[in-house]
This record gives sequence, C-alpha cells and structure tokens, in this order.
Amino acid sequence: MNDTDRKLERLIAAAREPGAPRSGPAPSPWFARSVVNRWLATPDGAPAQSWLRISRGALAGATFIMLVSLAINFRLVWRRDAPERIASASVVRLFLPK
Amino acid sequence: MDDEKPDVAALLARTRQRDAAAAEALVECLYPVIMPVVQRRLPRGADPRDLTQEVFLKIFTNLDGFRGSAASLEAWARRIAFRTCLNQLRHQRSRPELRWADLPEDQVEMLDSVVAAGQEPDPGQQASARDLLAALLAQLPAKERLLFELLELEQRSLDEVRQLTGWSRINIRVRMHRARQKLRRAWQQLSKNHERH
Repeated sequence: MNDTDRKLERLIAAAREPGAPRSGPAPSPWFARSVVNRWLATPDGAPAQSWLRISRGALAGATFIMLVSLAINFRLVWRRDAPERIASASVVRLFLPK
Repeated sequence: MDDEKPDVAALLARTRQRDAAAAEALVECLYPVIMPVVQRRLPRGADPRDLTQEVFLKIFTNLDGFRGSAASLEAWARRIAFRTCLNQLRHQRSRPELRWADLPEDQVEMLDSVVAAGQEPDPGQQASARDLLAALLAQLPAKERLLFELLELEQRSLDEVRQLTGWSRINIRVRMHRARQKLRRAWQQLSKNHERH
C-alpha cells in the first residue's frame, strides 16, 4: 500500500458512520393519508402484469418488423427496372395475380 | 400509550381489498423502516417526502405480487425503497472530476490534519471527511457508490447488503472491487492536482 492509498484509507476511516440508525421516526399525521389518497386515485391501483408488458413489447417489435418489410417491398415495387426483385419480394408476391 | 403491534398480515389482506384505513396503518408501520433508507440515499436536490411517497405507491401497486409473509414485508419494502433511490440516482449526471481548488477550507484543513498527519478526527472534521468522500463518490456510478456507502461507511454485513439490494454475493464483491478501484483513481487525481497546486 503506497502513501496515497494510505491517505485514502484514513479519509474513509474518518468518514465512517457505523452506528447509522436502522429505523426512523413515525410519519406526520397527514403523510399516510396523502399517500393513500394518491394511491386510491390511480385507475385500479395495479401495475401492468409482466406478461402483458412482454406481449406489448413483442407486439411493438412485430409491428416494427412488418413496417420495415413493407417499406422494403414497396420500394422494390416502385423500381420498375427490377421486375425479378419485385417478384421475389415476399409481401408483393401475396398480392400478385396467380 | 398503545404499544400493541398491529396485525400486519390482516393489514396486508385489507389493503389488498383497497381499504384506506388499513393502507394508512400500513404506511405508519413501514414509514420508520423506509425513511432511513431514503434519507441516506437521497439524490441531490430531491425531497425525502416525495421519494418516500413514491416508494409507498410502488409498494401498494405491487402488493398483489408480494408472496412473502408479514415478517418479510419490511425487507421487501426496504428493497423497493433502495431500488427507487437507485433509479433516481441513475438519472443524475455523475459529477465532474473534483479539483483541489474547489475544496472548501474545512475540507482542506481536515485533509491536512487527519489524512496527511494521521490525527484522530474531531466531530466537525468527521462531517468534512464525509462531505469530501461524498464528492469523490459522486464520480462513481450509482450502484457502486451505494454499495461502497453500505459496506464501507455504514459497515453493514454482506448478508444485510444482499437482502437490501437483492444482488448475489459475487455480484456485490465484483462491484465493490470496481468501486474501490474507481475511488482510488479519483483520489489519485485529486492528490496529483494538489501537488501541482
């Protein structure tokens, strides 16, 4: 341990506060009421379930991928000089006459 | 004075039914447990009452997901309080490098007597030491800073910290090691700055 480290250790030792209180005072009378009123004012008090959050995320992801895919396909449609690429574009093929 | 402890299990059940009186009683039970956690880990400029309110709202909205017993409620509430503070601290920008010229006079005096000469700090100097260390720790990421405060300054046991944070022992040790390294770097920077000064 060099001198700089020793000084840092001394600073940490001087700042130590081992007897920090684990419990505090009681709340003021209005505090509990205001918290509960705020809670009861929320629509149903329950957060979105985790499966709901996941499915929302999945839905957003799928929508994004679909939009990108559509954008690519339509861009290919507008390129008249590349008919073979239009034919191979998956979404466009769905709408082409058989 | 009524010293009887309230039946927490019954309060929990009634609060889940959105009973306002039970919810108020639960706030009164948990407030002394939550307030010290919030006060010690309060971000700069934040109001402890606002943050405590936010903690209670999270507790109430997550109460249906709480599967523990009434005995484990305090530990669960403490963890929610800790995570709420951590999230708040994360949104704060870490402070720029600390310079010797920025130090107030009392901190310079404390550094000269306690740190350089190795004297025992008096109560006034202890506060300066705490402020200086807080300024150095403000350069660390929030998780590492809080861990350092819990283990080194408050001298909490590893088990206590594990319970409060929900992190594994290995995770805590790795983060603590990183925190020490970063703090040492910040301190060396300040010392170098002093030598140049």
